[in-house]
Parts: sequence; C-alpha cells; structure tokens
Amino acid sequence: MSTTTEYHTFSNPTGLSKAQLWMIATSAMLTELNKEFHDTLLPHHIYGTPARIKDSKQCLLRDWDIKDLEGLSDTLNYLHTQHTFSHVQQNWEHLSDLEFNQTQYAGINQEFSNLLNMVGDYQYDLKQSDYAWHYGRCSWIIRHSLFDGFITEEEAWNLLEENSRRIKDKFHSWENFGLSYMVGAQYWKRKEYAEISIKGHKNILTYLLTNKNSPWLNVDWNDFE
Amino acid sequence: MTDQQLLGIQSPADKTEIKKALLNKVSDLDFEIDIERIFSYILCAKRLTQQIDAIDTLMVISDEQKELQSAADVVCDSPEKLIEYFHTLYDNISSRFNTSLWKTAIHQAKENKRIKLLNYCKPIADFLAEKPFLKSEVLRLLANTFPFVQFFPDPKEDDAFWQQYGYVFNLLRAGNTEFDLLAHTIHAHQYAVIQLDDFYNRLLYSARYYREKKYAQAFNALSEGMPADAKPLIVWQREMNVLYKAAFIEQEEQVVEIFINTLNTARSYFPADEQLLYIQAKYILHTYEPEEAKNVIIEIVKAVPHHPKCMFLLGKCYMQLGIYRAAMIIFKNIEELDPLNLQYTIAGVKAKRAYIDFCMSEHILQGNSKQYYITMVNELIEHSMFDEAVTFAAEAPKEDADLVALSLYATDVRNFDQTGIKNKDAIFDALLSANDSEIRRKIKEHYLRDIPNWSEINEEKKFIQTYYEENPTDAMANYHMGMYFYSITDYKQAYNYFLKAKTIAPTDPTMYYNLARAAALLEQYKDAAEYMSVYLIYNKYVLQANEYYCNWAYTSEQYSKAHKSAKWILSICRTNEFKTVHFFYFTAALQLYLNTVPKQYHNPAYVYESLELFDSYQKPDNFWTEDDGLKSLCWAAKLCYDMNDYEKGLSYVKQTLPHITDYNARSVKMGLFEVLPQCLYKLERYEELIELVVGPAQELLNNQNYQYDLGPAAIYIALTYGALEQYETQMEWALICVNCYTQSDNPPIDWIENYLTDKFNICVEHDVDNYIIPIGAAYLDLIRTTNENHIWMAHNMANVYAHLQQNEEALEYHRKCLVFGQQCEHECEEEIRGSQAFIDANIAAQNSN
Repeated sequence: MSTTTEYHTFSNPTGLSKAQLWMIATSAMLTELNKEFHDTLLPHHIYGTPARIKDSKQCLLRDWDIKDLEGLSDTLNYLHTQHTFSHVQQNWEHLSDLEFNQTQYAGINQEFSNLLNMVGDYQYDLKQSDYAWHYGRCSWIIRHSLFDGFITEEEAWNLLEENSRRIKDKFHSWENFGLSYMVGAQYWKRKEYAEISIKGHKNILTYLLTNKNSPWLNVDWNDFE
Repeated sequence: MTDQQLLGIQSPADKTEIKKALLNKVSDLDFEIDIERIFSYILCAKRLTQQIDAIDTLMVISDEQKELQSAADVVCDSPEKLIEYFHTLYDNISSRFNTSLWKTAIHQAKENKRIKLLNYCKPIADFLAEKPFLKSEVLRLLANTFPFVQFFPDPKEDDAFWQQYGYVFNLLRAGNTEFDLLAHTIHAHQYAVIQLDDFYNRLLYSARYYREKKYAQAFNALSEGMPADAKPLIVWQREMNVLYKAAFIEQEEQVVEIFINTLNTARSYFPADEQLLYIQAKYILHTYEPEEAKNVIIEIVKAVPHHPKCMFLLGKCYMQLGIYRAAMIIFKNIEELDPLNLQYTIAGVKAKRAYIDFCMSEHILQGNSKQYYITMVNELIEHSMFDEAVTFAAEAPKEDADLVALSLYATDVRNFDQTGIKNKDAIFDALLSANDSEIRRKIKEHYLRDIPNWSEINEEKKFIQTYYEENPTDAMANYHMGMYFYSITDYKQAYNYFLKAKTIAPTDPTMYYNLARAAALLEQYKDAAEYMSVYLIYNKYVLQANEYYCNWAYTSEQYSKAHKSAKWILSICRTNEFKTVHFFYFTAALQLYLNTVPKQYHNPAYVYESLELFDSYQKPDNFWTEDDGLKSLCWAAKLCYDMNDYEKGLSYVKQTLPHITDYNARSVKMGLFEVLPQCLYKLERYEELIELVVGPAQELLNNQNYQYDLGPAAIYIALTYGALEQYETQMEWALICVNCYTQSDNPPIDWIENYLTDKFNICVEHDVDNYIIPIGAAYLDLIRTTNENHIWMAHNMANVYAHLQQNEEALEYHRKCLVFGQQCEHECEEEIRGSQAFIDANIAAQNSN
C-alpha cells in the first residue's frame, strides 16, 4: 500500500542535510513507483506499520533474496558489479546507421534486434550505460533494509554514501542519471520492446523532472560532493 | 488542403520528389520561430512517403536471381561435388547470398543415403576455413544437417586441430550475426567478389579491434591501403564512428585532427549522407560555442529535416541558448515519432520544465495579471503538469469569476488524470462562472474528452452541438460532432466531420483514428487503411490500430501491406495477445501478394524465412478450433506448393486434418479439398490421396450436391484415377468436376472446354465407351459456339449409340454432326462423311423396308 496517495509536498520533515537528501533522491524512481517518501530516510517516514514491514520484507526476500545483512551485502555487491547493456554497447556501437537500419531484416532474433535498436538510439550518447539502473535500486534497497531492521540507521547512511559516491563519479546531472536508469529498465524489458512496457517509467521520470515537489527539483545535483 | 497541396507536389510523387519538396518548403523558414510549421511539413512528407507502395524487393527477386534459381539443378551426391558446387555458389555474389540454392544443395547431399554424412564434415570445415563469409542461416543449416559434433574433438585435446578449425567451430555454433548485417547492408552487386571480400574482411577485423578497445588498429584496418574513391559508404561511416569514439568519448586529443580530416574527405565523396551530416553536427555541438553551433546545425538540418537525431542536436543547442519553446517542440515531435528513444523523452521533459519556468519568470517581470494566470494554467495543463496547475490556479485572485472557473477546471483536469473520473457538477459550476470564451472552450473540451462509451456520447448531443456552433472551425469541435454521429451510427456524417477535423489539424494523430474507422464502416477500406497508417506513424505499437490497418489493407487487396502489417503485429504481440487472424493475414496476404507477381519472380528465400517465422510464434489456444487458424496453415501450404515444395505443403495441410469438424468450412475447402490433393498428386502418392480425399468429397456431394469449391478436389481425384489407369472412375470425377465448376456465377468456360475435350479424347483413346456420351453431352450442352469438336464428338457419340443399338439417338447425333459440319466448313471431313454414310444407309434401309 502506498504512503502518499495525495500530492505530496517535499518538506524535509526530519531536518536532513542537503547531502542526505541527495543520497535519498538517488532512490527516487522506485520511491515514486511505490508512492513512498522522497524526503525521509525511512521510506514510509512515520507511517511504517507492521503490515508495511511485512510487505517490505516479503519484497526484499522475493525480488532480491535479502533477509539479513549478509543478503543485503551480496545483493549490493552484485548490483555494483553488474554489466548489462554496457557489453552490448561496446560490442556493437561501432555499427553504421546503414547496419542499424537492417536489424529487423537480417534474420537476427527479435530480442537481439531490439538491443541493437537501443544501441543505435543511444550511440555515443550514453557513456555511463545503464549503471544508474543498478545503483538507483541499491539506494532503495538500503532504505528498505533499514525499514525492515536488517541494518542500523548509521549503517544505512554509510551504505547510501558509498553508493552515492559511485553515482556522483559516473553521472553529471539528475537527467543524466535518470536516462541511464530508464535505459536499464528498457534493457530489462528488451523482450517486450514497446512503448507500453516503459510507459510507467516515463511517467515517473516526467514527475521527477517537472513536478515542484520532486526531489530532483528540490535537491541540486551538486548538493553531494 | 491535402498533403500534396501542403507540400506543393503533384500526385502521385515518388520518395525523391517528396524529399525535394520538403527541402524546398523548409529552406527559407526560421528554425526557431517557424519550428511548428517545419514539423507540419516533415510529418506531411512522412505521411506521403508512408502511402507509397513500392514493389517489395524482399518478396520478389530480380531476373538475375531468377536465372540462378533455375540453374540450381546440380547433382551434389558426393562431398567432392558438394564442395565444388559450394565454391561455385560462393564465388558468384548473386548466388552466395541466395539461401535457397544452398538449401537445395545441402538437401541433396542429405538425401543421398550412399554416403555417410560424417564424410562431408571435414571438406565443409575446410571450405569454411577458406571461405567464411556466409549468412548465419546457411551456417545453421550446415550445422544442423551434418554431424559436426562427431567431427569436433574435445576442446582440451588437440591444439593443432583447434588452431585450424576453431573459427569454423564458432561459426557453426553461433552463426555470424555481424556478417548477416553486413550482407544485408552492402549492395554486393556493385562490387567484384575480391573487392567485396576485402571490405568484409576489413570491417570484421576492425570490429574485433574496436571490441578490444584498440581504436587505432580498428581505424587502420578500415583505411590502410584502400583508396578513398573506392571506399563504400559503410566503410566511411564505420571509420567516423571509430574516430568519434576515440576522440570524444575516450578523449584521445591527437585523434581529433584525424577525425576532422577524415570527415571532410568522406563528405567530399558522400555530401548528402545523413549519418555523415549527423556526426558533423554532433562534432560541432561538442566543440563550437552554442550560438555558432546553432547556425551550422540549422544548415545541416535544412539538408536532412526528417533526420530525428540531427533535430535532436538542434534542440539540445536551443536548450543551451535558453530557446526553450523551440527546443520543447522539437523534442515533443521527435519523441512522438520514436517513443522508444528515451533521450528524446528526457530532453522533452527537461525542456518543458525550463519553458514553464521561463514563462513564469517573464510574467513575474511584467507583473501578474489575469491573462498571466490563464496562460500559465493552460500551459501547465497542456504539458500534463496538473499538480502544479492546481496549485498555481489556487493562487489566482478569487474575486475574478474567470479565474475561479479556471481553478475549478484545473482541479478537475488533475483529478481526471489521477482517477479517470470527471466531476460534472464542478465542470458546470466552472462553465457558469466563466465568461472568457477561451476558458469556456477549454472547459468544454475537457468535459468531452475521453467519454468512455458511445451511449454517453449520444447523451451529450446538445452539449456537443452547442460546442460546435460556438467553435465551427475548431478541429476538436468537428471531431466531437463526428463522435456524436458515430454514436448514432450515422457514419456518413461522422466521416464528414472527422474529415473536416483532420483537414483543420492534419498533424494531430487523434484525428485519424476514428476517421479511419468511419471510412471502413462506409466500406472505403483503402482510405481507411491510409488514414490508419498515418495514425500508426505515431502509434506503431498500438495493437488494435495495427489490427484494423491489417484487416483493411487485406480487404482492399493491398496484400503486400497486409502481410507486412501482420508480420509487425506478430512481432509486437505479447504472449497472451496472439490471435488466429494474425496468422491468417500473415500467410494469406503473402500468397495473395505473390499471386500478383509472375511466379518466376517469387523469392523462395523470403517465403521460407516467413514460414520459419510463422512456425516459431506461439499459437493461441483457439488456433486449432477457429477457421482462421486452419486457413493460415492452408495458405502456408499453398506458399509451399507454389515453390514446388510439396512435402512441406503437405505437412502444413495435414496439421489441419485432425481438427476438421465440418466439411463446409473454408479451411477444409482450401486444405482437404484443394492443397492436400494437389500436393499428394505431385508426390505421386495416389493411394493416400484416394484414401484421404475421396470419402469426404463423396460425403459432401451426397449431402449437398455439386459445389464450386469441390472442383479442385475433383480435378485431382480424376487425375489420380487417370494415373492409375482407372479411366471409368476418372471420367466419373471429371464430370463431377465440371458440374462443380458450372455452379459458379461465372464458370471458367474456356477451361471447361479444354478439360472436356481432353477427357473425351481419353475416352476415345482408351475405349471408355460408357463416358463418351455423358462427356460429349456435357460439352455440347456447355460449349455453345460451334467448333470442330462439336462435329467430332457428335459423330463419336452417334457411333456409341449405334453400338448400343439405339438407332434413333444415333441418327440424331449423326444429323447433329452434319449440322455442325455445315457451320464449320472443311473441318472433320472424314467424320462428316461417316455420319452422312450412316444417315444414307439408314434412309436406304427404311426405303427398302
């Protein structure tokens, strides 16, 4: 169940620092998808209930195989070292437009043809590939691990900071980070390469880049150094 | 105004003319102020291009390929002969990429049971080591046909072996996707074989270096030792990609100069190439100051206005310069055309926010006013920023009735976006409050938006009419009138209003969808398909729209389009979205399109590829119970039959047999009673044909008498009995066949004439006396223009009557013979003399009595 069903004001109710808000904002795509809080460390702020903890634990176990600190550590390590779309880019980015235009006629399988379309679309414009997809989800997992009691608040901030450092090193703006995240989602749904499969993500991104209450409009990219 | 008029071209125009007209239209326009107009021309050109139905070069082949096809009757019954033939195929560019020729040869080798397939493996591996540039489809075929598993030893065992054959092993295991793309991209016929293989070699080596991040070697592999004037475009493009990566992504500064020089040389050979222009624009945006970059990029965009990536760069440049409105329009338009390129989405969203912020700051500078609130709320709603619209409208002064209405309107738009429910009371309150005509129009437009069903639209008759009367030249007002008339099933009126709406707003895709549906309901299927194709430019993944288009293209006999549409539909369907009708259109439309092209130009490679695709898609549960599913198999069988692949045709049609429940079904008429006997007859499997077809055909005849659709079955049953020399039964079915064909409103009389003549001849030759009279009678009854056959048949019929001692009938037909003889002078004189003699003898006998 979502926390915020109404228009939510970004108000920093727990008085977090700019850097802390920045770290939380890196989880914004999943936070918005689940209608959670963008301006508190805990995803449900003060509205966490036993039922929500149960849901959250179920989600972390089912989707991420996390049931304790060890599981969290493994998952973060996995996500930090994952290379997905970047391999495809490095192997195929050199193709010419003439070749990209032939992908659907050359008898290659549909899923791979979809990937080549992606490579063609972002050719030489996506140096950081889809790493935000992995890092952004890390931030959200860390917040929920705190909520579920697998880690302490201090550990949560430390993990968020380490993850944020990776993000800051690789990306140069929220939209740059957002694009990389979306491409990750697109790669993930490469079998169903259609607008409808990423429509939800597009709506979230639109919210994050336009709405006055979006964390990405309230937290400057340079608030974390 | 029509699209042709808008672009100023004569109808019909080809793609070059359309492009030229587009360039003319935009050349003098301002790419900032006129950007909407520019896009209206770009989209107009796109719509016109969409309509051009060129001959599909995938489905048909050229004269040269055709000759190769017919020269494929080579015997490959030993490894030596097979490899010799492989060399012949490989060394000729036309045959190297003709998969069906390779298939035929491999099939022959496989069918030759004298030689073990393992004996082929080493010669084939040696051949591939020397000549590896083959399509994956052929490599897969080789891998699947010959037992290479036995040929390749354990990877750890034999180093020397793996050094020699490692590459071949990989080719056979994984194919060569990169080469497949190259083979499809390079126009092989423009080059000599040696030259072409040199290109392939360079491109593949360069790719390997690139993947290892050895960019200098990747570039050198392409450029060294190849004169600039001999380089094909693809090599230039690849060179530029390698250099761009090295210079601007890996930031190897020393490469920048090589990049610039190479780009200039490439452009001197291919000045109009879109990718080279794009990479130039990309470089300019990367290195120039924004203002300077803008001017150069605009010049490039003027040369390729339809190129979305070049437009994107212009939009980025505008963003850097703070020209947000033009940037926003560019991003919005290119995103609509390519919704899967998320760069466009993000840039569009960013531009939207920047534009709104700019508008607000500008107005703040000029002081708040009523118009400021109206403009901004409308802008925010226009850009789907509903939350902010509500907040903003709430800040407006409450004493102004229009602003109160604006606030109510904004709140309801936001709520509708979030819940899908409109508060009609609130909307009417807003209307009561509003005096400003533009606000009233917006509120009414919102009120009428996305009404969920036709009965509710019907109930809004008065509201819609008033809205229209207030705004007769507004596209949406006309559109809603169309919706109203559609709801009361007055499709003619609906069509007229939709057409007017489309004429007012030709770039709005919404206008085309229901216009297309109304046209279809008026049975104007060609127009309907045309309108829907425009809608699909912007909505290519909308399944329902694609289904309509496919159906209408098929109904209006635009089979090439219908087949391609079905192919696209199958590619976008998710697991639970496949329908039997998709499969039906896929095979039926392909066969019907090929029927419009002489058979020798059909491309078997394309047909086989299509059939593989057809087989690979998961069939829905009702595929085997719905006639469309079974028909799709029958059409697949017909495609095979036309390629003389009777075995494969038979395998398709046999899949339908266990699912037959009604002999009257169309699929049964096509399958069991047409393609099945055709294939079995060609395969000379006569007993099987009789066993499978005769009983059901007889049953249908007994129950429902003659019917046109049984004609093909009767022909092949007759032919089969003929082949078995059972002439009486053959003639029985020949007559059934004629009787079936005469059930048609427009029977194929010429064909029937030849058919009966042939059968009469057989009767005479093989003494099938019992059928001379019925076949002859059928001929004389059906063929009313007297010719020599009439004389000949009447004479023979008379003889049979005489033989049966039916003298009256014999006399009657001899007399007919003479009458026919008078009508065709100098024909069948011997028969006429014989008939005359019979009559004379008969008169003499009577006189003597």
